[in-house]
Amino acid sequence: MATPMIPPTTLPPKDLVTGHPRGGAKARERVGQAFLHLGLIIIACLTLIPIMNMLTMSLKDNGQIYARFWALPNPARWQNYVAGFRAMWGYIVNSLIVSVSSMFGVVILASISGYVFARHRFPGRDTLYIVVISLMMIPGMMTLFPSFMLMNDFGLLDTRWALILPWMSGGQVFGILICRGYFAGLPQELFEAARMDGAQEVELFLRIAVPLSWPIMVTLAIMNLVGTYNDFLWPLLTISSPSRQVVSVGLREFTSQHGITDWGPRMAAYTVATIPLLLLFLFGMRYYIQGVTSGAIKA
Amino acid sequence: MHASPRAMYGAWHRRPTITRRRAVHLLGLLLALLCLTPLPVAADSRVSWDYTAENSILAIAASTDYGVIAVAARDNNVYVFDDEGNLQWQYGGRNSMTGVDVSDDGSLIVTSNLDRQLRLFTRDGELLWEFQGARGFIDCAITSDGEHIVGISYEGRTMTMLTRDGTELWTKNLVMPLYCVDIYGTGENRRPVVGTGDSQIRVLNKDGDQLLAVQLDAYVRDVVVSANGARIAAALEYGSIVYVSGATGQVIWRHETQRSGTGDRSRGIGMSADGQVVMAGVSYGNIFVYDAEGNVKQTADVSQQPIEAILVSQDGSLLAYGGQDNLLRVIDRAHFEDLVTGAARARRNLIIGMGAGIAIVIAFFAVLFSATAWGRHAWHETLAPSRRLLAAMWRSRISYLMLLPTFALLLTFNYYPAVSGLYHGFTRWTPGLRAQWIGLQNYRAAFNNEYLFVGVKNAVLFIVTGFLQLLSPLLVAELIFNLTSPKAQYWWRTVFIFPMVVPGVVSILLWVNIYDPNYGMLNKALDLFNLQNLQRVWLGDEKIALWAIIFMGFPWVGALALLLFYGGLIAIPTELFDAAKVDGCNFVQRFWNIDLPLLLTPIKTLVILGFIGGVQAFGNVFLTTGGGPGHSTYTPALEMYYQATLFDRMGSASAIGTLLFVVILTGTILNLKYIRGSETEFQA
Repeated sequence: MATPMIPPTTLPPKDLVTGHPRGGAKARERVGQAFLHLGLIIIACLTLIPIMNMLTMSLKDNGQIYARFWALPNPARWQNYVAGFRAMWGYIVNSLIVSVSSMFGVVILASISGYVFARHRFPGRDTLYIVVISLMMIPGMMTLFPSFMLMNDFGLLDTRWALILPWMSGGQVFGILICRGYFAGLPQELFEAARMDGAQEVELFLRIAVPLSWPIMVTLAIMNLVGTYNDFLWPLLTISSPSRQVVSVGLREFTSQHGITDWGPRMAAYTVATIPLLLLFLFGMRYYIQGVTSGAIKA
Repeated sequence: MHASPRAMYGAWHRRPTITRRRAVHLLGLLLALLCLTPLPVAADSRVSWDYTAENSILAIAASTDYGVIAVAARDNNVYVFDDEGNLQWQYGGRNSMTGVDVSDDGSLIVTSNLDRQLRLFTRDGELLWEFQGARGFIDCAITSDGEHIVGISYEGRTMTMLTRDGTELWTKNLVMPLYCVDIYGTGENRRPVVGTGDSQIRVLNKDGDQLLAVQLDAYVRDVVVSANGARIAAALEYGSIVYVSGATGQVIWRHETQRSGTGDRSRGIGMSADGQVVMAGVSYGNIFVYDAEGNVKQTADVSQQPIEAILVSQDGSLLAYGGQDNLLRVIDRAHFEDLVTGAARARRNLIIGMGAGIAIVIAFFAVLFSATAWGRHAWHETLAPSRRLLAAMWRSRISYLMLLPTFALLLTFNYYPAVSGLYHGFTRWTPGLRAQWIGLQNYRAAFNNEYLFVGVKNAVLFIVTGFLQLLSPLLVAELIFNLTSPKAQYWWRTVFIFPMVVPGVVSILLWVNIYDPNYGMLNKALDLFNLQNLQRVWLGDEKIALWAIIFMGFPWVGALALLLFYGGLIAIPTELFDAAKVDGCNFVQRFWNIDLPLLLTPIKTLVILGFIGGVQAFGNVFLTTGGGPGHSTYTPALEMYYQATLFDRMGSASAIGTLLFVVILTGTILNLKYIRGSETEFQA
């Protein structure tokens, strides 16, 4: 805010009831806010340029794109979307199946293990926890090909399990990290009270811990879904048949398929590929923002 | 409860126990038994001689009298021996020596090398000439009189013929990848025979025109022709050995060496000059010897590794083979059988020996703990804490049980691959075949890899620019944070989170489109402002491709970074801001003294994530330029990917992966040590 230098002994005049600045300060503040909004508008426009480009191009044909790039599509070729949809639909279904399955696995495993690490006491607890967390430092690159060979040895190559299982296993590491932090922060009295009422360990977990941790679980679920939906290299390596391929790799296949570049249907396909995440965000964005900004994610 | 330890000790003494001396005797007896177990017996070495190179043997050739035996190996050397196995001389090139051939009288030796050279040596090792080709040579052959030399290139798909003095006669592009070559006849009747990637054996004439093509069903890994060209034997990729008439192309016999359900391949083939004895080596380490009718006369399992090169002496009595176990062996055919039994016996003995050893160790400890006074004391006293620990663990068994699924998955899919990656960095590893320990060779190769060096430089650039790109979300977070209306804050947060719905691959491909020279927004925008001279092929220009990739994602407002910064800002207590206003801070001062220090936790998190991401940068390069143009946009991760997928060198890829891990580990530790998070107290 562009507040000018104020003499040390006075505060900017504020209405004691509403808290809004009074007098000339209000005008100054309005100007300041206007600048903020202006800056944000500019940056937002820059950010949205590629997306707008995608949407406008998706309704044109190559001729329109080449000759009249900056004009709106006229006529709008909705049939591009038919082609795009047909191309992407199978990949999207596969992606959803695989991502949602692994998401469930991660949330369940991470919450159980996070809870155990947070609230149980047993020999080797801290050591085991460090062992789990240190896995985050192993780069995906290092384990990439050995994991591939492992899938080969299990005979799981080119199956959905080849995607689900490693994603579950990898995702739970981060999940355990944030779940443990969260569960450790729950007040002890709740559990004491329940124990006095005769609850068993498992009940404590299911009836008290889980309902309270709903926000963090949703955050974890969303992060996991987005992460696995975007994962490119692993499905590229392990899945070879198009019927089981996921969106990220499918997009690339689709892109390099056609001889002559037909940008309209391509952009339509990109748009179609974006739809699942869009829907996810419409429903879950609030929780995601809440989860990240609440400070749950720390190094 | 027990009485005093002293009394206990005394009680033990009263029982009949084994004294210390007797315990020692017992131990000695056990050790003696251990020594007697059948130790692995060295294979009966009635071979003529062996030689171990530093890497796979790729080709063997010899003069008629076996007086000159030349061997080409992947350790970049060619070795020349006499018939008794004494090394006469060796020559080192800059890349794998892929092929070698010797003229009949042994006076000339030609070598082919992946460093694009064909070289001709005299018998004594004097280099007569080097011929530089456009691409690496994969095999070579010399006519029996030594007058003409032919070399083939796999990548370049070309065959080159030269004369003895190094003059290039012709280079022909044969369209298909070429794998192996042999030549028969001399002078005007010289005929190169080549094995191709479209599963053909082709016989050409002296000018390279095709005379005969034999269509087979798998590509031809190695080929050999009899002296008069009447018979051609070939090893095919998917396990067959074929024996073909050199005149008509008719397949006389074929033998299936592929074991069912496996990816076995035939690798090396040799034949006597009259075509009567054929010998083949396969990927599972076996050798087959056939007669002219295709009957398997002998077979032996001589190695765990593929046999790459075979030589049969002109009269068929002497055999030589070498393969990925780096071992060259020259043997008399009559003594061939002995090799089999020796190896199998050795393996059996090893297993028995190990089993016996383990049993003896267990027995030793059992006796120690139960029978000796000292042992019993140790069990009850010194090991007591351990036993208490085990008891505590048993009590918490439900915790362990609940953790079991997690750890089962982690061990299988995270720990095992990590350890495997670490181990295989020291091996040569091709899928389907057993890994072979080669020590630090992969690492040495990595340090000589120019692609990797470019990659490191690029990765550093990515990391540094990645850090700089964090300024954008920081800026936006500050802008949003300083808005007074909560509704406005909420709305703008949503707007900037929104781009997260675009999948990563899509956003990269969208930028590929923006950079497209004809349909892309960037060049079109330059058009609009009449700045056509600034137009470029953004991703195709060596000098700017890398920067184009770095620029992708402009204006770099990452959703996660934004939220972390924003969360950090709203966590700062308002008293601090009020106090700052009282003290008369303007915005810049406030930012520098309050916001930044208290944002150190998100900054630290993002620095680590950015560092790890930058070191492993793969997607944005792979989807845009694939490392090109040239190798200007290579990254280490990309090189690792190519090593494994294009070159089948998973061991080398694992080594690179381990190096990346070490880098990341170092960076993370440094980060954790030197950038303090903002859990530190602040003075109001």
